Parts: sequence; structure tokens; C-alpha cells
Amino acid sequence: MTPLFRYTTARHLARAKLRTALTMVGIALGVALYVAIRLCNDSVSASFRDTMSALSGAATLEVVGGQEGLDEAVYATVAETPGVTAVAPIIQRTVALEREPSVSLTIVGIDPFSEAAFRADELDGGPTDPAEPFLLDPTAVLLTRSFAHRHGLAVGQTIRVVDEDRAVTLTVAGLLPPGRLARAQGGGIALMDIASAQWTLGRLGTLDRIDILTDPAAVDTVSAALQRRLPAGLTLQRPERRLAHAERVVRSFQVNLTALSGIALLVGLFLIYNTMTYAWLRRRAEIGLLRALGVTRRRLFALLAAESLAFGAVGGLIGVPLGALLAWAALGTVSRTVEALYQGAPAQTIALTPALAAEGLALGCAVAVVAAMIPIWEALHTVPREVLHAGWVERRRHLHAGPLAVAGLGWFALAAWAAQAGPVNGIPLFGYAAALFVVLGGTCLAPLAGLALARVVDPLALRLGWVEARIAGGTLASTPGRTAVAAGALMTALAMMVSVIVMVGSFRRTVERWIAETISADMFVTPAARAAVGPSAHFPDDSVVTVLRAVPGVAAVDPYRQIPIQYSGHPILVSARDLTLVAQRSTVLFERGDPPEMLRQMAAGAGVAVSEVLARSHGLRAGGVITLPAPAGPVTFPIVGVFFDYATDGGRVLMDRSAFSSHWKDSGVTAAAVYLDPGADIENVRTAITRALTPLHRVTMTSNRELKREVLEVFDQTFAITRALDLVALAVAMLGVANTVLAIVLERRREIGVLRALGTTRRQIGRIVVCEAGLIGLVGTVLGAATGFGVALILIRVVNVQSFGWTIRFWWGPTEVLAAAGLAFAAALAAGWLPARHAARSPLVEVLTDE
Amino acid sequence: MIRLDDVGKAYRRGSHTLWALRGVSLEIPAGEFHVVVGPSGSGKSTLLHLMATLDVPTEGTVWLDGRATAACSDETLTLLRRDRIGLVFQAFNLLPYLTSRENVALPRLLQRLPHRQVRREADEWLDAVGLTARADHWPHELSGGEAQRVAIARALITQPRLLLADEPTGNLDSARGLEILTLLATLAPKSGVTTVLVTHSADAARFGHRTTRLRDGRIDP
Ligand SMILES: Nc1ncnc2c1ncn2[C@@H]1O[C@H](COP(=O)(O)OP(=O)(O)OP(=O)(O)O)[C@@H](O)[C@H]1O
Ligand SMILES: [Mg+2]
Repeated sequence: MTPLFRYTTARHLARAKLRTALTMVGIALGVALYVAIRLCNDSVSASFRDTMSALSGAATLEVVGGQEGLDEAVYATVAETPGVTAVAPIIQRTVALEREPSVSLTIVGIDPFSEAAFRADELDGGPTDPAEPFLLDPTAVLLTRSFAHRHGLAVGQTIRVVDEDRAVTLTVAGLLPPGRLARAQGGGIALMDIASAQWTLGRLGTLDRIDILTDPAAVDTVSAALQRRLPAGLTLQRPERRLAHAERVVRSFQVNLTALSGIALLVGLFLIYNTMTYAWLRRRAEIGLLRALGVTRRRLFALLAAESLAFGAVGGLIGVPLGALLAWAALGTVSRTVEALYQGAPAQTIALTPALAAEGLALGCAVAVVAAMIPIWEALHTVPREVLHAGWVERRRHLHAGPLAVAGLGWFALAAWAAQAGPVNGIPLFGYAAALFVVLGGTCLAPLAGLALARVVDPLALRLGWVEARIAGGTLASTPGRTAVAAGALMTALAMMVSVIVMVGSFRRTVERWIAETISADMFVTPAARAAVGPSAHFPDDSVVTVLRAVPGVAAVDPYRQIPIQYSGHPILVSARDLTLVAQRSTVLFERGDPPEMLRQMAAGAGVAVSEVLARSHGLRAGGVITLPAPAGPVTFPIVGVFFDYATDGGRVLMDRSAFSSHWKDSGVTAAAVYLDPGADIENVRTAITRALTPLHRVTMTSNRELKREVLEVFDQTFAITRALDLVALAVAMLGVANTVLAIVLERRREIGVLRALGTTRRQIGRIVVCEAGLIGLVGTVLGAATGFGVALILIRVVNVQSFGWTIRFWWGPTEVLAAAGLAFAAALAAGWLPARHAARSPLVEVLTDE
Repeated sequence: MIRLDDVGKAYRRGSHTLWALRGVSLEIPAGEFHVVVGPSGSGKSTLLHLMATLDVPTEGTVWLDGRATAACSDETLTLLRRDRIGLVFQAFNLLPYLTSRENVALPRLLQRLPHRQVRREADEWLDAVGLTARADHWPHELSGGEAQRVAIARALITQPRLLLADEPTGNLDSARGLEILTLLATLAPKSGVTTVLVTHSADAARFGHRTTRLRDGRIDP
């Protein structure tokens, strides 16, 4: 520490303890939010990666089949290919626990003798003979210690699981040694002998995957050789490919979260800017004096920069661990969302790497220094004489409210321009930039808005005899720059809240309307495993549908089938339905055209329909064609129409069940949509269905209302974290307002002393200060709400369209927006409380004689 | 009007106590123009602050209108200042974001009087101090002498019973200072207000009915 630093900075920080603390907390919150979101995202990605790499082991190549796997005979073909050093056949199937239907368990069927080359280290520490645990019992599985512990299972016990719609009994033959494999899928892994797995899971003669080991240098040659020998319809790939797919799926989600944390940081930026501005205003006499005493600009700059850096560093130091804590608290929610949306593995651990910690710290410092630049520059380029002059009014001329407002309009224009630009690498970078520009533009309007408000309040307050409001308005008008910054922070936070409210609200309304029109069956019958396994669960064949049709009270059954496929490198869904039935009893929302007529055409073999997301991302349109990879080779379908679909962000192709079965040879049923006879009692039908299906089938029955509610629940869950982020931003903004008002109070100690000496009561002083906070709050609230709508518009029309591709109808959300605005305003008032107390309590004589 | 009984004020700095004022007894009858003089550091401001109820004595009693200030609540003292006492400071202490007229009007507004009436009174007082032409000026547009005249108008607008001025001429040149003292000496008797003027210049004594000399916190006989 240089003496200069000790005599100036350190003294000031010590004197302005409260304000210093508020600022640091502000920075810390911003950093914490960023770190927390990064940690959650990393954790989600890591769990994807862990699961995949643990399950793939050392394999350099893999062969995967379609929905129904691949023929066992391929194994021999692969093994005989020159260059292949080891081969391992794999069966993989996710089942649900019978007792806890929402808990999933991934059964991995392996050939114990082939495993040594692939996953040996994972199995190390287990029995010396790898086949030993499986020898005696064809239902034997190895569980991970954590899973067994969590569900109270011990070696020797049996567990009942549900495979699709069938109950299966397994025996816990042993526990897996802890290791990478044991951590995959959050521990929900069960190893089984492959022959037993084929038998138990009804998969005789088929495999899901073949892991291949080659000389790493020869991967390409071996791959080419294999490609020639393999039958059509199989995919040969490097294991990393699957990971890349999985990661792309969650990327939009992650980018969105990161962008939100960015907004919180922006609010923090205002906060620091604010504090630094104050710091120099309070000390400009001193800075002028130092300059007059011959301290060079460069040294002063170093001093002030070091000071802001210190702010940032301390904020960062608090923020990083706080972020880890936040992440730890939020991980459950984020992880559940990812599981619900993308069937990812549950993320379980938070790993704060030194790199991320350093990043958080650096971010705190960078934000602090950037925010301090303008105030520092101003401080250094003011003529010393001017500063030494003991005027204590921030000169009205000092802030160019008018030109600034014009600059604000410039930002809006820039936003309009950025909103037109396309996505970069699939990420709507320009869209986010446009949102940022709108917020910046709004901020630039704050000084003018503040002055305008003061001009309105002035005469009004005087006329009404509200002397407190008059004094508060006067303060506001005489410090437009600083109040504007506080209003700007509040504005940013509220803009973020409003935009999220409007965006999520619009989205929810759109989805509500969509499900109201398209979910029309009275009941949905799905395999019991669905709760744990997700949408990939299905009835292996349509025998269930036959049974259902015969149940009294059932008018019609639509056997709905949905399978994931790859379309030009992207995961999409193919949905097959009985479209004749859909045309009669339900509908599909097409962009244009007459739904019943189009559905009937599709049922008659005229082609398929594509979802708008798919159409947008691949430039497809009605009247064109789409070529899909069917098991027997590519099939080209005419596109009859484009329909709205909010259930997946990956795209969907809808076709009639007849077309699907003829090309995919798949008679599976993902869900049976049941329409009841008019007047049939749903509870009676439920009982009848249960009676008809048990004990062969384990199913879940969901009524129309339950399904609609479930869909909306998933929706709300997805945005739960977003709303939590909002509140953090508001908290940061509240700190900003408190900080500003407190600074105004501190700077006006003497003035307040004069008021008290003239006979202003403590209560009146308190009212003045709270009124000041309220006026700042009013400017921030009005601008924030307005800006929020602008940002929402960009989120809906640009960001959403570019990253997901949905059509969302704009909805103003009057009550929610009003509530948020009220909250922000109340936050501003509350933020005035501490300074008000402080102002009313200051000892009088000291203040008055304090030169 | 105001009476001090063996009043003392001590400031504690670390372990030792500094008596800024000690054993001061003084009675100022209503309507008197009283001048307090003494060298710098003699305790003049301290004395005035005690009279102005901005502070309470460490020992002894300050009686204002028959009430001991130390026994009153902060609220009572504040209202007392608002309604009964006018204050003039060396540093003017005008509020920078109020015009001259608004500064003068402020104490009346604090009393919640109607705006129209307050405005009229303020203009009358500005006229009395000869600043009608400066009514709409901001404090930073006024000269020191003008600012102090605004401050005097502000102190008198509530028609206080007690006017306290702490070195009102301290920031002014001697000619301007003389103007201010003359103004005070003419306005005060006119409104019948009891006045205590603190100054370090001995020749101000000629403006008053009576003079108290302070030295090292005690009354110099
Ligand atoms: N808050 C305080 N803490 C400690 N000592 C104080 C404080 N206020 C005043 N004093 C001391 O009390 C003594 C009297 O101060 P006071 O301000 O009353 O003097 P004064 O006569 O008004 O002087 P001047 O003519 O310079 O204004 C001085 O010695 C001063 O140092
Ligand atoms: Mg003094």
C-alpha cells in the first residue's frame, strides 16, 4: 500500500462503511449469479458426459441400431473385420422401480468376457472372475452402492422393476465398486449378463449397441472397412458423437440461463458505476487538492483504478463461494428441468474449478473497473480550480440530459437493427444484443425522465403544501446524473422481470391454447415405466390397443407412436397417429389450411406434416418434400402442411399410422389416446381398463385434465429458475437504490442538518428521504416497465424464433406486470428506509459545523 | 426569555475532557439585542448552539420560555426551533435547489401554511431585506451579502421570539458585514424579537443593548 492509498482511499472506505459494503454485496451478487449458473450448466453437461463416457468406456467406435436395436448377427461381422481388436455387445434399457415409479434404473447388459478391454478399470475391485456374479442366476444384476443405499437394497434381495408395461423381477447379486461407471446416470445403473438381459427384457437375438476397440491411429480405415460390411440402417460412429448430440440439445437452455445472469451483472455494473461516481463527487475537492499539490494524473488514475479493482476483487471473493452455494441450492431444480425436458441424467455434483473461480473473480474486477472508468475520467479531467471551489451543487449543466436522451433513441435504433440480424452459430447473439441495447437506451432516458418528473413534482408539491416532496424533488433535480444511475439500475432489474413475465406469460398462454385445442382424448394410457423413463417408453406392440377397444365405454382408441430419429444431423421426432380419428375427434393446429381436410388427405397417403420448428430450421414448407431415414433406407414424403407444436424444440414430423408402420415396421404404441362413449363414466372405464389389462400390462392412466395439468407443470418448472433469477436481479437493484439514496443523504448531511435546525422534524426528514427514493423508484419503475415490454418483444420475436422457432402470441400480462412494477417500486421505497433512519439520527451540531 | 444557569459543555476526547463552556449564567430578557464577543475558540458557537436547542448542556440548565431544554424531547425541541427560533449562520446555509423566495418560504411551508399565503409573506420579507429583484434567483447566483440577507429573511419569516446569529458577517467583507449588522439591528427591534448575535469583532458590540464577553469558556467580567 502506498502512503497515498493509505491516506485517501483507505480512509474513505473506512468512513463510508455501509456504502462500501452495499456495493461489494452488489458486485458479489452479480458474480455469484454468474458463477452459479455456470456451475449448474457445467454440472448438467458433466453428468451427460460422465454417463456417456462411462458407458462407452474405452471404445473408439460403436455401431448402433434404430429403435428396435440391431441383429445379433452383426456382432460376428464386426468381430471378423480386420483391424478390430476387441468387440463388446451391449443391451441398454431404462426401467422404472415398481415401488417408486418415478425412479429410473438403466439396465446395461454386457458380455462379462468382452468387457476387460472396454470397462476393465470401472469393474476393477469386483470379483476376479467377471462372470461369477451372473453364473447362477439369470436375474442377477450388479447395482451401484449409492443406488442400493438410496433405495434400501442389499445383496441377495430381489427388486421389482417395470420394463415398459411389464413387471420384471431382478436379484441384487452384488454391488459395483465405486468408480466412473457407478457415477453414470446418477448411480442408477444395473449391470447384467447380456444373455440374461436379452431374455429378461424380451430382446432375444438383438443388441442395442456394439462397442468396438481399434488401434486409435487406424480408426478411419477400420471405420471404412466396417461401413462396407454393415447392413443398411445401422449407424457407425465415434462415441463422442452421441455426446455432442446430447450437448447440443441442452445448449439453448444453457445459453438462455447465461444470458439472464448477464443481465444481473449489468445491474451490478450500474451499482458500481454509481458508487464510483459518488466516491469521486464526495472527494472531488480532495482530488482537486491532490492535483493542486502536484500529484500527477497518472498516479491519481492508478490510485482510483486500484480502488475500484479492490472493490471488484472483494466482491468477487465473496461472490464466487456464494455462487457455489447458490448453485448447490439451485442444482436440484435445474437438474429436474433438464431431466424433464431432455431426459438427461440427474446432475449431482457441483465442481468449482479454479478456472471458474478465477473467471468469477476476474469478472468482478472487470465489471468494477469498467464501471469506474467514466467517473475516474471525469475526476481527472476537471480543472483543479473548479473542483476546489466549494460549490456543493452538482451543476445542472453538468449532465446533458437532452443529448443523452437522443443517444437513448440511438440505442433503440441500434436495437431495431440488431433484431433483424440472423443467429450466429444457432445462437441468437444479435437478439440478446438487441435486448441489451433496449435496456441501454432506456437508461439513457433516465436523466431526462428524472428532470421531467422533478419539474412535475415541484409545482404540484408546492401547491399541495407537500414541502417534503418539494425538497425531495429539488434534490432529484439537482443531482440528475446520480439519481439517473440508481433509476437505471432499478429500471434494468424491472425490465428483466417484466420481459420474463411477458415472455413466459405469452408463451404459457400460447401453450395453454394449444393444449386446449389439441389434447382432446378423454384418457391416455401409457406404459407404467413412462414416469421414470420418459417419452421413449412404449408398449412393444398394439395388443394393448386391441384390449382397450373392447372395453365397454370406450368409443375409439388412437394408437399414438413417437420415435426419435436423426434428420440431417439433428434429433427430431416422428409421430404416428390415426389421423382419420384425429380429424373426427381432435385437431392439429396448422399454420394455414383446413385441418380436417388436410388430416384426411394425410390419412389417405398424401404425405406428412412438419412442425414449424422443423420447417423453420430446415427451410421446409407445405408443398415441398422431406426425406426421412427409415430402417430400410431413406423415404421421401410430400409435405402437406406445417403445424404448431410446442412439445419439443427439436422438430417433429406427423404422419398417419399406416404410413409409419409400412416404412418403419414398428407396431409399438407410445400412448393410447382413448375417446369415451358419450355419457360413459371415466372412473368406471378406468376400473374396467385396469381389470382388462392386469396382470399382463402395467399402465398409467391419465385423464385429459391431468395431462393438461402435467404439461403446464413441466412448463412452469422450466421457468422456475428464470423467475428466481429475476428476484436476485431485483435484490441487486434494491441495493443500488439504497446505495444511491444513502449516498445522497451522506453528501447532504449538512443540508439535512440545516433543515433540522430550521425545525424540520425527524419524521419529516425521514419522509423527504423516502420520498427521494420513491421518486427514483418511480422513474426506474416507469422506464423499467416500458423497456421490459420492448425486451419481451425481442425475446419472443427474435431470441425465441432464432433459438427455438416457436410462434408465440404476444400477451401484455397486465396484472403480473403491475405486480412486478409495484414490487420494484416498493423495493425502492424500502431501500430508502435505511438512509432515512441514518439521516434522521445524525447529531446536529457536528453536521452543521462540519466543514 | 432565555436564561442560563451555571451552564457547562464538555467535549470528551479520549481520556481527557475539554470544557468548551463552564459556569456560564446569563439572562436575556425579551426584546433585548444581545451581543456575545470573544476570541476564537472561546466557546461562543457552543453557547449559541445551546441556546438554539441544537445541543444540550453537560451541566447546568438552559431555560427557554421557562422550560429546561435538556428535559424536552427531540420532537418538542424541533417544533420549538421551527416556531420560536430564527437562525442565521456564518455560512448562509441556503438550500441550493430552492430559489431565494423558496428558501425564505421554507420555514413557513414546514409549518404547513397554505402556499399562497407563504408566497406573499416571503415576498414581503424579501422586500424588507431589499432583495425583491432577486426572488427567483438560485443561491449560487447570489453574492455573499445577498445570500445572508436571504438567510435573515428566512430566519424572521416565522416571526420568532428568539433570533440567533452566529458570526453572520464572518464570510463577508467589512462593508457588507456592516450592512448586515445594520439590517439586523433595524429589523430585530421592529419585530420585537429577542436577538443574540455572536461575533469575534468587538466593534459589533455597539449594535447591541448589552454585551457578554467570553474567554476560555467563561464569562469575562
Ligand atoms: N465537537 C467538538 N469536539 C471537541 N471539541 C470541540 C467540539 N466543538 C468545539 N470544540 C472545542 O470547544 C471550544 C470552543 O469552540 P467554539 O466553536 O464554541 O468556539 P468559538 O468561540 O465559536 O470560536 P470561533 O470564533 O473560532 O468560531 C474550542 O476549543 C473547540 O476546539
Ligand atoms: Mg464559532
